[in-house]
Amino acid sequence: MKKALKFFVFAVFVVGILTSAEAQEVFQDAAPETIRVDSIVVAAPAVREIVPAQILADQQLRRLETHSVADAVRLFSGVQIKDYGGVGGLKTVNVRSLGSNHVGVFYDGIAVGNAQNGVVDLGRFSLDNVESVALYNGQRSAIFQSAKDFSSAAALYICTRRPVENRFRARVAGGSFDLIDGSVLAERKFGDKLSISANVQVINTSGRYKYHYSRPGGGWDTTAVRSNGDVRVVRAEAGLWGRTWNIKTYFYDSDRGLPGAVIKEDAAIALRNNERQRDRNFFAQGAVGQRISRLYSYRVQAKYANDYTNYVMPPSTTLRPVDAHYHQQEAYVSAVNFFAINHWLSANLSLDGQYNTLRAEAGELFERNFPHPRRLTALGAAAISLNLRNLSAQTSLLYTYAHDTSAVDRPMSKDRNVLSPTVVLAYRPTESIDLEIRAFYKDIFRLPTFNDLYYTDAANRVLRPEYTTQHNIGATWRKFLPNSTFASLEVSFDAYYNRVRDKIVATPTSNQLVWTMTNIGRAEILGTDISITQQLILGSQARKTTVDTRLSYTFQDTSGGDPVPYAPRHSGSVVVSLTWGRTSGKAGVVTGSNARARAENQWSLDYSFIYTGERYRLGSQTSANLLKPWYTHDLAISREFALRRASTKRPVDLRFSLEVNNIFNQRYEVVRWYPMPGTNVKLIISISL
Amino acid sequence: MKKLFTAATVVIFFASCRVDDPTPPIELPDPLGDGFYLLNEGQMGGNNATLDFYDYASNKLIHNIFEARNPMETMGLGDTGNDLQLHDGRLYVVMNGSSYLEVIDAATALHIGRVTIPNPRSVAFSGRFAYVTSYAGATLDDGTLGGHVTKVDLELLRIVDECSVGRQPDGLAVVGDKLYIANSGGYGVFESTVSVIDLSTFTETKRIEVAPNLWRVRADGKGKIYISSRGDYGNIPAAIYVIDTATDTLVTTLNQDGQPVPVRFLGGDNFALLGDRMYVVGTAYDAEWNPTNTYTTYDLSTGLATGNFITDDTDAQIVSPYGLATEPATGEIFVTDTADFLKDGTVRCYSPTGTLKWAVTAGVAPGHIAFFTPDDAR
Repeated sequence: MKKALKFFVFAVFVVGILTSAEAQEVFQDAAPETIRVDSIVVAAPAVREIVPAQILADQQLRRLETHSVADAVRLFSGVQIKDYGGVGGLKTVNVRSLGSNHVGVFYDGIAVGNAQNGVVDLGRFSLDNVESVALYNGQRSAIFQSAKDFSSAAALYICTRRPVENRFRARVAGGSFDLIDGSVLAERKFGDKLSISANVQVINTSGRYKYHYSRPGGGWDTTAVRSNGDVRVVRAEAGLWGRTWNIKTYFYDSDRGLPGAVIKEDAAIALRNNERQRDRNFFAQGAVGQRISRLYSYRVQAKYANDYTNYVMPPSTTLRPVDAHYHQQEAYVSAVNFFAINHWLSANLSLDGQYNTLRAEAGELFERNFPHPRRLTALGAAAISLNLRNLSAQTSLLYTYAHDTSAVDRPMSKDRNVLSPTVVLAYRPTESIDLEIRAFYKDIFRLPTFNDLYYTDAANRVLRPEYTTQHNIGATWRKFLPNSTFASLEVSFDAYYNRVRDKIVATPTSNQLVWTMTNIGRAEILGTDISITQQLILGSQARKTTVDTRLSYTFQDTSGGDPVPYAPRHSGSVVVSLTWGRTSGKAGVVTGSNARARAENQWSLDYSFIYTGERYRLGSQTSANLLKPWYTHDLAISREFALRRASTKRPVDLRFSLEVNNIFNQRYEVVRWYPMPGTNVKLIISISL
Repeated sequence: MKKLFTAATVVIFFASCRVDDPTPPIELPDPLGDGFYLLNEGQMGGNNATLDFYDYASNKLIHNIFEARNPMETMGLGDTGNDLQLHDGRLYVVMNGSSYLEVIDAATALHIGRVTIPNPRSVAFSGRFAYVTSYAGATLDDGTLGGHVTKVDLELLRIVDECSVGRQPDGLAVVGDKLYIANSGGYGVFESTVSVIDLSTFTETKRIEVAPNLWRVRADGKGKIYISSRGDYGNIPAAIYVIDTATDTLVTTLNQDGQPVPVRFLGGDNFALLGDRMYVVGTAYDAEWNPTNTYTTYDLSTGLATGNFITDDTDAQIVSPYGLATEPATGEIFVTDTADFLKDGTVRCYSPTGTLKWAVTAGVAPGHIAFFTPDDAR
């Protein structure tokens, strides 16, 4: 902790020196338009994010609107999605192999928590009403943010639509796995002062699909149908926006079967594939903020979340019967104070408080030992940002305090006090070309979760936090030529070296059913992320074809530490989106899906290719545990008709899309013995008025 | 369009990377000579239980012999092996996760047949019948799952009878015309009894109160049975108890200075008999779950611990001692190390004086050994 403090003082000192030496001018933001990744309602002083995020929005996101956030995140570089297959399977994101516990997920600017196991299921968030998805390595480098925003090793920001006009949209999709997915979205704007939005989605699927396994090199060969993968989901959200505030409520209710791993078994006895899970999540959150003076702005955020999970293993399975109920609550408040000291120097001071509780009912043995934990977390962050002509620098220091108590007076883990520093630098060598070189260093940790510390009789209350250290250096080069064929090109490159120490690893104690958590793990990840995005515009302004291409590639070497299961050496994706047809309205780069696509009678074709190279499953790095590369090709074609209601002359957009996923029927699995679906189709009809 | 072309090129490049390489052929002695079979339990839900054969003539461990000899058997052995026994020229593998009893010809490692038994645990034999403990009995009045023992006719490979015992029965042993079953209650409500079944009527005749969470049972051939208890993970420690089958009463506890050696039994075959000695492996933990492994020798004539059966300090190389077996002919002691239950484990051979003779990498969670000589063949 002392070391961290020293480091911070040094960093502040360096920033100070640089300030006095450099020309004092803010450099202009060269990006044509920034995509909103937060719910920030405050007319805040523009503090640029000095390190760019990977962002999906617009056409590429619209193509995925009937999918979950996990399907969008797959297209980013440096990311592995752990996907247990099917619509209902758990989907978690692991960024740069640090572990999914280290990825903060922010929904409209406020963190989504799970104090029980620390992992957010991205399958829970639909792209139905999402405007952008952005991934930051390290942290978002806009310092006007809550202490929570500084507190994870990587951060995913999901930003929902904010009304820009009165609008109603209904959408229905159906296809493979007996899928029916319907949603309605209503948005209304009352002048500039108030807007409201409501969105409801219902999904129902049997989750049934054929899978096929065979012995490599010949021998047994089997085809079967994935069963117990049915899912029923109801999701409802409502938002209210004022000039300086917003309120958001979210409700999610699902009932699903857990199909489990495919194992050798006799069809006569149902074994592992009878598990069920019921989830009910609710949260309400709000933010208010204002720029009080040239010098000072503030934002206050608050959230309440109530999550319930019921996991059932019926006695008919012949395995250990379970009927476990988990109730979690979270209350969160944050105050952010931003000081624009002058036009090149700004500072931020934020203070967050969070209270989590977990109550569980899971049978006599479980409850005999379970402390029903409660955790109070206080986070304080101080940050300084410097924006000079060629150089931007940010340094932040986060202080975390955590205090665990038990509802039933059990011994608990001791209090935590941790300081975590971060330094971010961005340098623009010349004005003539849009090239930015960046570097960051971040030291952060994750607290052991309630499950890590208190689960059953092998609980390890002396677990230490799991620390990560990230070193990153990278560059981005951009070229915009709005009126030429090569409308834009962006090339981004990052090299990084990550370390995880005191990694929390499960080890069995008394038997294979009772595991405890220990700090014995260590990981070292050396990697590079490369991404290239390009836009081509062909044809005339009135009848043009737009080609958007996005390539990403990740290389990772994890051999320096303990094996990181499922970390491929090579992975990447290619996304190509074509749109053509008669257009009107805004030309050139359309950014921000709020700038509602003004295309009329337009076709679009989207193709994506995802590749994950060889990787090892959990266990020894032997040929028996080596998994073959997998890759899928997905294709979607859509046609949009712009109609006009005769009575009101208001535009009516009608859209038909056909998706064919895994077009070459690749047999693959992301997690061993969790087969993924083969070729599957989906038809989507959407009307918006 | 150029981009599309580039993309297509990339696709073709990646597509060309995917080749299914055949499993390399294994040189197998046929028929098998002296050696032992080793069952690697695999990870739960990992479908990676494997059977290896250690060949004394070449001093080599042949990995995955079942899969190599039986390529048509879907998914090999399957999920989570829990017991391995040789009886009358056949090898019996209890597959807990995949829920069946696999029957293999011991001389050739060829598959003979299988019997589906839900949630099976351990197997013992008497004549042409096998007895398999199973966690999957009927649901009891209090909502917990009862356990039972399944009687299998080995000629017909068919279940012929079932007998209810305590909750979650684990180890078992046949002595004369009686079957002794260790009830564990491992699903939460600990049992503390040994069930006695009369084999002639196949009914439970008695329950002997022993200690909570009973595990393995071994008969010494001289009228005594030894039972390991895993304790309640709280006040009652793990220990090994002795029952006299003449009176069906608990006679003593193996101990050290009057106290049981403070360990937890990780599972596996945690003790083995050799003459009037017993070897026991266990793991003790401190408050921070730092493990200390124990390798204890007991003198069965006194019931007292006499020391560490590994004498050359090579026990420091072992992460998680799991399975134990003794070769009566040579007095050798075999210890399996499961490491973290995920990585490949090892099997180690110790001389009767406790020095390491060899160690070899096995599969995931090696836990059970069955010795074989060609004389055992049918």
